[in-house]
Order: sequence, then structure tokens, then C-alpha cells
Amino acid sequence: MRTLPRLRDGLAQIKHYRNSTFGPLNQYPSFGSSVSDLFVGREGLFRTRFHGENSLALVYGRRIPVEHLIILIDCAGAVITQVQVMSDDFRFSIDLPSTGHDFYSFIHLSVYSEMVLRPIARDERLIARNHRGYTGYLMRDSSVETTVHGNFGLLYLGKNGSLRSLARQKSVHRYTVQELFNEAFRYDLCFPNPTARPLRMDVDVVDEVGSIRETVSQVIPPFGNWMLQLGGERLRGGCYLSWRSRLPVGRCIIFEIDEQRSTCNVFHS
Amino acid sequence: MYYYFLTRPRTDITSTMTVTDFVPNALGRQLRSDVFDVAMYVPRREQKIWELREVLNFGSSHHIMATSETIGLDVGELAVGVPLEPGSKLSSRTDRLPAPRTRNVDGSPVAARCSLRFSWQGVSSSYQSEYPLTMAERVTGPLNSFNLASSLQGQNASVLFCAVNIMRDAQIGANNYSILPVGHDGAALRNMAITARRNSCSVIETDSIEAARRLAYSSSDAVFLPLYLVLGTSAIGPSISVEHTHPPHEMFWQRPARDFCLPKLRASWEQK
Repeated sequence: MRTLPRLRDGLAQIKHYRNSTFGPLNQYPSFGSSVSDLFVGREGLFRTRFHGENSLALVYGRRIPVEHLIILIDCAGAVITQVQVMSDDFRFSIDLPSTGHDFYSFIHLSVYSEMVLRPIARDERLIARNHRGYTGYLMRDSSVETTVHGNFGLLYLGKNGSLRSLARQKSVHRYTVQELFNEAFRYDLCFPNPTARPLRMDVDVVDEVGSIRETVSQVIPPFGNWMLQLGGERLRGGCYLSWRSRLPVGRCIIFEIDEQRSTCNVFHS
Repeated sequence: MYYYFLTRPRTDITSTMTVTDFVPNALGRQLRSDVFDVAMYVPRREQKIWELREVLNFGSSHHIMATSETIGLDVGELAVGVPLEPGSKLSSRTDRLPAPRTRNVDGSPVAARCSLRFSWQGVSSSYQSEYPLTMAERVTGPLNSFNLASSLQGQNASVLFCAVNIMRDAQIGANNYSILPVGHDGAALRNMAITARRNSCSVIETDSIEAARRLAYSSSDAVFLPLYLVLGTSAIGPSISVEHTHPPHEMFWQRPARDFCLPKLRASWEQK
């Protein structure tokens, strides 16, 4: 290992320990709050369907009315629109509306009425609901969703209705996907930024002998999203993908697209 | 610390495990390798032992691949991949799986996973997979898996609910457990209870319409990893999708919430 990167890593270690945590949060959600993973939605080649949960209904084992709030966010981190759905089912599914954006992010929050909460107020006080739903993507005319769960985010709405997050950027981490990527597919890598600060992402394409063949960098706006497309010659011979960011858990959503068969495999890294 | 696994949920479905020697998540900018072996064990339920099938190493490559075909798995069987120090001395038969070595190099928060890919009729779907050691040591425990396929997936679609159970202790792993589907009214479908096998992948296959009638799968006498495979054919050809569901404790934050919500959630569903 060269001296400069080694020194830089050493300093990062010291800084990291001074921050006294490897955790992705500086604080936990407050009691009674509703926080959400950051999900990725797509249009054009895909339709997007979301499956969420009615947390209190699941806890109490009975139907409880809830307002599901889906907030759609563009690549620059601005709210596109929001969708409200009333339901008392344990689970709910929704086909997301057309936004005019090829890809975007969204969050899922739940709102219970005072009438619902009053009889269980003492219990509700103790619950910080963490919405971890599933997103299904239907490619072209397919009727089978390819499904993936949300990416860690802990986003919520502040009192003034603006997007807020408990996720924090820390020291630089390197995340490497446990997969071999090859030229038979096209890969769309979606990196949502769950933090309130611009996030720099450096993605390395690593060849079969472990050398970095190419690096692609991008600064992602707060609550924004970046899609990196890779395939063909850039992955010749089979490659590994690895990236550096200040996210302690810097995962992304990967679309592995087989154009010939019109099929897609979606997974988180 | 995590085990990996391969399985074969149906005659025409195979699985492939891929793991690299790159550290999955670590502090710093450097791309770091960490060499280890992966010992592949298969359970022999009748003899109540684990049989060592082969030991995989990276050689000159940066990744290891193994498939359910090369291991020779029958339907419902599984093979467990155990990351170990290179050159570890292993006996060919053991009544207790070795503990997997950690792949973490610092306190960075990530499960060191492999990629598990299911293939069917020339198409495939994958997810980042692991089986925690702590789960493999738990003999009993309530579990609710809220059904991922509870919305319709097309007329010809089949849904395979796969309950993967790994018990480190082969003696305990020879015992069965039960899985109960739960309807959308919250009531258990007791006439549809199935007897599942430990140290195997127990599959409940239904069409999409029947799958959508089920809200959850629950068990009071074992923990398992719930996987949902959806297979479909249409004018554009075959499609496959796989994903796991979150354990219910991930729906809540803070210890007080967990301590309160989880017992209540379990009690709510067990009474039915």
C-alpha cells in the first residue's frame, strides 16, 4: 500500500473513532415518529409498484385506519408530488403515478388519527415506526414484479413539511458488492442520497485481477438520486464494483437488465 | 458472523452462490482483500451429522462460485457455506457446524453477504444473502413473515414461499417444525399448516391468486429465513423474482419500542 493513502486511511480511522461510532445515525428517531427507508422509483422501461405496511395494525393484530403518505422526490432532491391513501388493511400496495422522471426516489410515512391513537396513547408513545417496504418493478409488459426492499434512510417530514433525515455522513467507507458483473447485461445503479448534505460517490470498476479499470464520480444533491449505467465493453471479462462514500452503509439499488429477453433482476448491493 | 447457503426449491430451479475476497464494507478508501476458504457442508438428517462436501478457495481469482448442481442437491435440500481461515483442518463428518469466521475488518455496519442467484428457464434473479450464526443457534422462537406476494402477480404466476432453516447442531436439525399461513383477516389457516424440515428449504408453492390470499406465514417453534420466489410466463417469455422479507423487529426503532412492540406483535398473531 502506498504511503499517502495509508496515512489518509489512518487519519480517517482516528477521526472516525473520535466520532465514537460506526453507526449511520447520530440520533435515534423520536418516540411516536414515522420514518422511512429511501426507495427508488422508475418509469419509461418500467412501472413501479410499492408494498407498504400498516405498522400499528400489525402490532395489534387488527385492522386500524391509517393514512399512507408517499412522497416522490426528483434526482435533485425536490419533492415532485405526494400521494395519500387511506386504508385499514395490514398491508397496502399502490401503483405509483406517472411523474415524467425516468427515475426518482420516494418515502413512505404513516399518519394515524387522534381518534385512533387516543385509546392506545400510552402504547403509541413508545413506537417509532420505521417503514421498510418493498418496491416491485414491472419491465415493459411483464406481469411479474421483480422486488427489492428499501435502502436504509430514516427520512421524515419536518414540522414545516420539508424533508428531513436522521442518516448522517461519516468518514469515508468503501463498499464492495459481492457479485461478478459481466457484459451480457446492462446495469443501472441507482444511488439515492438519504442525507441532507451533498454526497460524493466514487465508483470503481475493478477488473478480474483486482485492478481499478475506471472510476466514475458524482456529487449527489441532498435527498437526490444518481443513476450510473454500465455494460458492454466497460465490463469486458467480468468485473467487480466498489465505491467510496461518506455513508457508513453506502448501498445502492442495482437493475440487471437483459435487453434481449426483456427481463430484469433488481437487487440491493 | 454469517453462513451462506445454496438450495434447490424445485426440480427446475437451481441456485448459484458468488462471494468475492473483497472486504464488503470498511472504513477507508483502499480496496482491501481478505482471503478465506468456504467449506460446503450438507446435512445428513438420518445420521444427524453434517457432511463436508468440498472446500472452495479463491486460487488466482477474486471470487468463488458454487451451484446447487455441482454440489448435487435434491429438491428441498440445502448446502451451507462456512467462511473459514484458509487451510483450516476439517473432519469429513461433524455433528456441529464450525462457526463462520468474521469478514469484518472494523466496526463498519454491514452483514458480510454473498450473492445468491436463482435460475429458471434461462432467466435469473438474485439477492444479497446470508444466514446469521445467531439464527443457526436458536432452536425455537416465534416468527412472522409478512407475505411479499400478497398482491397478484399475473394469471400464470407461481409463488414459492421458501422457509430456509439452518441448525448448527445436526441432532436438533433432524427435528421438524410447523408453519401456519395467516389470512388477511388475521386468522390462522390451520387446515393449511405444513410440517417443515429443519436444515432444509421447505417450500409452499401456490398460484398467485392463492398466494395473494395469505397475509403472513408464522411459526411458533422455529426461526427460519423467508424467501419469496415468483415465477411467471407471458408473451415476452419467462420471468423470475426473488426477495427476502424483513424480520418484524426492523419495523421499529429504539429499545423501548422494540421491547414493547415485538412481544405485542407476536402475542397478537399467536393468539389467533
